[in-house]
Amino acid sequence: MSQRQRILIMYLSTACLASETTAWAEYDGTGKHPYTGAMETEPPYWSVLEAMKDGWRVIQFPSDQAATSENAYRTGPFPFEFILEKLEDVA
Amino acid sequence: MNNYLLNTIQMAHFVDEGYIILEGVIPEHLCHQAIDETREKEAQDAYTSIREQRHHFSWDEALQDSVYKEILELPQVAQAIESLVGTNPQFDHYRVHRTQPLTDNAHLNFLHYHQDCMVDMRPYTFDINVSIYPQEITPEMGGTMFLPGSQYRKVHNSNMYRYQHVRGSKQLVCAAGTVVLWHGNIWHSGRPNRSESDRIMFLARFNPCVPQIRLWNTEDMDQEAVAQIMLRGHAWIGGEHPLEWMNRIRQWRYMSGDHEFDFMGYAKRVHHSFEYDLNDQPYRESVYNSITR
Repeated sequence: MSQRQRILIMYLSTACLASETTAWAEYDGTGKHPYTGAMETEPPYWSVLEAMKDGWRVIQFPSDQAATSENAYRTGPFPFEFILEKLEDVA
Repeated sequence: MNNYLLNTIQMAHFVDEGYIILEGVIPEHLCHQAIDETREKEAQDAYTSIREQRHHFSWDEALQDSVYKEILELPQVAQAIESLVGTNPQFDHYRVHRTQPLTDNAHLNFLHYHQDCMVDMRPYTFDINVSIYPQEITPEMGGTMFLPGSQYRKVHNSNMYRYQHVRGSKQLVCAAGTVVLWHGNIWHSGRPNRSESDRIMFLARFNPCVPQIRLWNTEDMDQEAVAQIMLRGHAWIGGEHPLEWMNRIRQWRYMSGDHEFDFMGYAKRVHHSFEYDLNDQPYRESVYNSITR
């Protein structure tokens, strides 16, 4: 028996871990939950805090950025990205 | 002659959501011709020669033997294009997408959200893409998915490749003969075709050669109605709504020529008037570039 990593990437409304999920993606090293391209409309968890209560470990937080006169209105990739992992046994 | 220019409400939706859908505007006989032409030319690899001409900036010359030229010249389509990018836009790219039914999941990880205009730092001027769907597109056929309102987010494509599901995403389902005009920077993606038929889409891109200011039918100009459309917001924006609103206010100020346009007092609080924007380097450059291209 060995372990494999599942990665859940969650994008939240704000930097607060209890704020609402706006986007998500899963990459599953166990191969049990492959990406099918099917459109999902409801997130697996409505916040990172909710995912933590289900056993997901947060392994990366978003970094803070100061607003300046150059970037104050600039928007780009989703800023509040949290990466979570779960280790699962595989045969 | 009928006036098929877009109206102010349609333009407000475009500025907010990043696309306009003209449902079923192509006559049935042209749809059949387009499907037949696409399948025949694909089978003969005849579109290869067209693709090689992609830097032909005259679209009526590049498409002279194609039914897609006739479709782009339909008044409803041509005047919608004119409303967004003006007359005689530059035509720099086109492509026929013919997506076969999915037989395995091997290429699924390549169906990423992406932005076509990867190198595009123009803050207000924008290109448009015109997608033509000669067939009915059912949910199983995996039509184009858009993220409404994402056109103001400047990204490099590879930044987004790990995204899979975004709240508020909309996959196109439409009648045969539908045309979608979409902002060159909106996030979009093809979806897997899980039907038993091929899926056909013709795509053309147009670059404006005039300032994109009041190019539509402005008889119904109603700034309050415009503000209400832009205030609705989108589920994926989360806590960044004020930033997104500011970008829409600035875009609408540029396009409508009303440099006092505002809602919720967002812009007024920090930009007392147009004079401030005139001192704004990106704004100035955008106006200048539009005029001098």
